[in-house]
Amino acid sequence: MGFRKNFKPFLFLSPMIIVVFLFFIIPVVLTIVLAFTNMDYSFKWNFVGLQNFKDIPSDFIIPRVVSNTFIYTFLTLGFFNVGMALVISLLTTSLSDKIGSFFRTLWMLPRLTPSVVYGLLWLWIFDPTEYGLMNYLRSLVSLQPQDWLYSSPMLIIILANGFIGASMGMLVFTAAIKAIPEDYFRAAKIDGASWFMIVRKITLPLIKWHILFVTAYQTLSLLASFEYILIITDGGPVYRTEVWALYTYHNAFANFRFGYGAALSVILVVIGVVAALVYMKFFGFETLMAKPRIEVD
Amino acid sequence: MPSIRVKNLKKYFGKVKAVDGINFEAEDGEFIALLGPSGCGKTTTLLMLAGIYKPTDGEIFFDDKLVNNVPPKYRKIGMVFQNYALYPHMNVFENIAFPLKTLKLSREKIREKVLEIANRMFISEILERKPTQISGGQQQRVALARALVKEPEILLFDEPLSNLDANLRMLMRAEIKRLQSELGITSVYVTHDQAEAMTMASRIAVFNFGKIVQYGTPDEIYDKPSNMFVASFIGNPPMNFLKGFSVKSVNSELHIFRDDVELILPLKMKKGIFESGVEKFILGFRPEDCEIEFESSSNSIPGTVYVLEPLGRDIIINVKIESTGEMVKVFADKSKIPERDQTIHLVPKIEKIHLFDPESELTII
Amino acid sequence: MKKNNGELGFFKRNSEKIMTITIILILILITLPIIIGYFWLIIRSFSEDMVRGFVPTKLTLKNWRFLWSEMKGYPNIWVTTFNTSIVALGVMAIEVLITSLGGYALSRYDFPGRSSIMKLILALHAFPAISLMVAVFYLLKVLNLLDSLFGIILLKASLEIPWGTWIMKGFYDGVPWELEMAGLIDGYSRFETWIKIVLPLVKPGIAVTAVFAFLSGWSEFVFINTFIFSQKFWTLSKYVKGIIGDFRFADYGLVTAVGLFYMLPTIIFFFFVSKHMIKLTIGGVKG
Repeated sequence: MGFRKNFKPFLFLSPMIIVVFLFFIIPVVLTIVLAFTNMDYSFKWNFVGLQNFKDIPSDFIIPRVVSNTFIYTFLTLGFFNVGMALVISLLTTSLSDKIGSFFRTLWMLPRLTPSVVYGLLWLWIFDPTEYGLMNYLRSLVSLQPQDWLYSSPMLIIILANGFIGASMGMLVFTAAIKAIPEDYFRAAKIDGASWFMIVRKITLPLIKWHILFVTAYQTLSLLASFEYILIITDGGPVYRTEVWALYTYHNAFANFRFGYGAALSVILVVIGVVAALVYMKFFGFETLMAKPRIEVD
Repeated sequence: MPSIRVKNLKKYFGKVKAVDGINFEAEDGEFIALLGPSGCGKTTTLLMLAGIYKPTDGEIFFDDKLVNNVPPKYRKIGMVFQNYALYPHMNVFENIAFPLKTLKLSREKIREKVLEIANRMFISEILERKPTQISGGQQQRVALARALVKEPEILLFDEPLSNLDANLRMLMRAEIKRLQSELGITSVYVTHDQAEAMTMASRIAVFNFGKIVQYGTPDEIYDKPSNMFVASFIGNPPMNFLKGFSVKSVNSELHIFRDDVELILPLKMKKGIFESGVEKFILGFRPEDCEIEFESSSNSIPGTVYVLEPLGRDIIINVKIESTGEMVKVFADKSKIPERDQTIHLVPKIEKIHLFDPESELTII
Repeated sequence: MKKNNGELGFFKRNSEKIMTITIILILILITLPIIIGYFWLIIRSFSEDMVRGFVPTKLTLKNWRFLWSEMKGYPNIWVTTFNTSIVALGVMAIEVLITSLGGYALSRYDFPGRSSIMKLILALHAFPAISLMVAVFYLLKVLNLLDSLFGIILLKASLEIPWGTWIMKGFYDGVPWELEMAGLIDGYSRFETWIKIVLPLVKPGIAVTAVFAFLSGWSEFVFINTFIFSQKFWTLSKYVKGIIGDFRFADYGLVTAVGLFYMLPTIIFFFFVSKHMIKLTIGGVKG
């Protein structure tokens, strides 16, 4: 009876369950198992115990990678994924909906652009010759062109990731701000509150959960992200923009050290699993779990 | 058409007992109403009749056939929903034709049947329009047409008139009643509006907290409510209640009294009162079962006029009983309208008085 | 200080307007890199050369020569475009199919494990799947799906399916229960009601899911870069990345033209999608 009764919904769900199993569950387990091998391009299962994890502290690039990862993650997060996102949503929601959504739409454009094309825009802006935007601006005040990718690569990847990362927070914050009853703002205006007062005393306190959510969420995605760094600097020059996720990638797919790469991944995977579970706990989703109302199979 | 029999029907959602052991039946071709406040279990019951919900316990019979596990599509039912549930992506014609498409009918036959019912429901003009492009009243008619087109043996109504404005509601009330009696389809009508239930149904099941508290004809329910809930739910304005009465025999007369009032009851009530074993009573009388006098008399209750509510044909007088602060509403004769704050005397029609047990709230007389 | 006679000063009288204009100016300023970047991309692709930042010397179509003449060392652009379309359409088809099924079950059926599955989906959404690449490489090798567009399609779609299912569930949740009940009472089975009543009503959800899936498949770079080895399976991301690397300093005209060509679907869908963007808010996109 039990199986027969629940057969239909599982039939509908089975394709999703299969792909989740195949491309999430199995890879998590596989990553952990691979971390205990020294597998290379010969794909031989050669278990080496904790050797990979012992190698990590003595890897002389690791300190560099760790500090890069922190700088990259927290500066991008602070200035863009949360900071810029807040600024844009606060500013655009103060305007008429038409103008506001025009600007928000512009900020969505980078996210929808193929990453290699988007990367090209930043390569041009920071081009080392006078053809690049920044060096053209320098030439206006008679300064020599500068090789930005060499002088400030971290700045470039933070900017490039930031202009994409801001859009998620922007959408979440905008929706949250729009959900605040208009009467609050009207009442505050009648009481004579200034724009800054309204933002500080009404808007920000009312969307603080959203800010927390975006912060938590984006920390995790930034920690694991490397696509735009791979495209723009490829971690260079000389490891100056090599972050943890990219170092993992390079170890596995440039040096074919799959075992070591997996060991590096395990750390991200563990952080990811733990953080995902913690988010679930904090951002209760009970309201989303309303019971269905038809009992026909 | 089949009769409907519901035996000890229960529906629990987790710990919530939405329907908790109800019994009723509707005869072949009968129109019955399930009446009660929101959340009382009446719609849940209807959805079990429809087959959308499966009973937790108990039985539903259509004639002698147990239908508990029969899917909706085999039940030969039609249903009209509160929000009409017209399919927004289909036009009116397609909406009405939709149930017919399950039958193996020719296109011509389907067209013929749709046109016939559309004609009957006066919606032939709007067949090409989408549900969003027609008025609420028209949507209602389309919903009825869709429910009827397959010639169902049972019709289910889930508050079908509650989204219409007052005038239209009165109009459709009469139309649905006429239609039902012409077609003779066994019908179950869920409503929270006692006027709808009273005017349309031959029998009414009054629901409260998942149980049927009374099942009977409109007259029975109005004149002999089984408890205070039914008495207060039926009738507009509802029955008046006065608290704290005791009964005594005086010279072979039966008196009911409290500090400010003493009324003489008909002797035939004596048996019922004493058999109940109850000592304190709540006295109830309907707003129309009470006269207003300007002079004190025996069998009268003193009070002051609190406010007047003219209704055109009638006037409702709100009277405050000074000694207890209780409020009473009575219909007054237009020739005899008192002024605000005037002291008057209420004379309930003694034959039509009800007595209730304050503990169980059940009716004694 | 002079106008202290009850009349409001210029700034006070126009404070609302000044505020609005200030806000717009700030927004333009912070959005400038985006505006300039895309503006340059378009103009440069039709320019012979550029002076003073972005003033074209002469308009030309020469930069678009890759469309009709093959670039040395690169596969044919149309084969590459075809591959890209296959990936985009494949991801779209799989994602739409699986999320429409799964979303319906989660929204409309009650069964043991329902809330666990929903929680798992939310957890998976927060989890950075990109950190699994090493294991996925081995998995694809075992499944014989390395250097295969099908492998890319399957992988890409799979990673997006949990969240897509959640989005579709949201759209299904918006379909009134009464409509589905009416379908059942009108004589249809649950499955028929899903097909005839419910699916047509979640068309907007399907459309949005389809467009996002298409664009994400179309834009995919990392998986192509890592799991595809043969030039005949290249998609535009790999092609454009190559062109950028080889011609960036020599021929910005060619580079921008190739980039703009690759971006065409984005531009086309952009206007359609941006309207629906807010619907997919709350973490609908990763960053």
